[in-house]
Amino acid sequence: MGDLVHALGIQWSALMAQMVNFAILIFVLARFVYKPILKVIDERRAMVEKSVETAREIDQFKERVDQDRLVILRKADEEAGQMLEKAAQNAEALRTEIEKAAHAHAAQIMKKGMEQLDVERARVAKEMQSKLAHAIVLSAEKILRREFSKEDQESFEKELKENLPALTA
Amino acid sequence: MSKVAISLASETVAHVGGFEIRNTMLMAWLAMVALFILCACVRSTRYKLIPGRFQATVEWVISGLYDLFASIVHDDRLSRKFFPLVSTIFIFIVLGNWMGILPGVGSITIQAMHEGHMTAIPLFRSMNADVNMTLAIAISAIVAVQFFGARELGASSYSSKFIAAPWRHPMQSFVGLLEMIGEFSRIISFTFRLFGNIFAGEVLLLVISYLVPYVAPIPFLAMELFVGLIQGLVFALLTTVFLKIAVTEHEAHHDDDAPVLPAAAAA
Repeated sequence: MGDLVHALGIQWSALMAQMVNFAILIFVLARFVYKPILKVIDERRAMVEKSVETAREIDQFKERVDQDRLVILRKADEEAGQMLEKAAQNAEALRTEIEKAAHAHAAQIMKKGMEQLDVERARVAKEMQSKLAHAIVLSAEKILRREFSKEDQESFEKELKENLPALTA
Repeated sequence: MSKVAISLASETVAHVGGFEIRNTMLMAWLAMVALFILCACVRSTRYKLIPGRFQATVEWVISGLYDLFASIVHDDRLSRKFFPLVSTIFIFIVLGNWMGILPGVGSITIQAMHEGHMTAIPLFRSMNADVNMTLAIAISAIVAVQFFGARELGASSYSSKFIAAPWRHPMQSFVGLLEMIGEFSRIISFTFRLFGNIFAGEVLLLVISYLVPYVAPIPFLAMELFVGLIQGLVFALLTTVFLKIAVTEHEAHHDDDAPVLPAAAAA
């Protein structure tokens, strides 16, 4: 055994020194390399997971917003359609009303015009009757070659006016 | 043609008091200095959330190693506890192995007393071509396995894996003895697997360089790079497996009261 140990060069002091060296190496590497590097990798992994989670939430939120937007747009479309329909109905009603009013107004104007026309015609007829009676009296004067007195003239004209109803009919 | 000198034991290059400084120890210190410089560089990055290229590279290596070991342990809490040990084993062994094929290692010699007479000995030698180094890492790993096992399962529960009253559980007592032998055999297998591979590679490179100094050693250097990586990986992965067994195996035995299987087979 001693020969083997000697042949292999095993020496307890060297062995202990190498073990101490190795222990120091483990400590230093663990302190300055393994722990900080694993920690930073963990932190990065956590950050990436968080970012992925946030991105997923943002996607979900965007999807929800898109759905909401579609619902709102659909609703707005429906409301716009309803409003247009209502506006069309209102416009139709208003048009009908205006048309009716216009018709009524026109009828009223027509009626008023007719009345005025009647009044005017009556006035003209009356005037013509009066002028015709006067003309007839004058003509009668010339035919009879005599001059009527003021009273006769008025009496003839009155009589003629009464006997000329056809002009005013 | 000069002779090729191959020594199984590492050579002493200097004495500090009664302490012998071996050429393999110098290489281990150089590897440690390289790792300390790496630590300083990593620290200077301030561990930013948005890393630069250097930090990103270090993170890639560390997270890759962590994922590899965590895939064996299957427990994030335990993986975090085991990671500094197994990762340092991997990095230190691989770096030491790769530094062992740097130009100047083995070829720069000094005159020193070796085995009773003055001779030219290499100033630097691959650190894992020394049993002291591989044994130190193996002992550290197995001690850590026992420590984590006792810490996770409780000292009495964990020790019952090795010690049982022979008059009550004769079979379990015998199996416990085998378990204990198994733990020692793990140290030996760890030590000599790494030492054997690296020493053999060193000898191979020495012989090839002696026979055909130019071009011919290049494929063997590439192979040594690969072997160095594989040996580091094997050491670290086996340590992880032993750690995993230490913190879980014994509990299963409590459940079904089945006999404890010797872990020596795993080693």
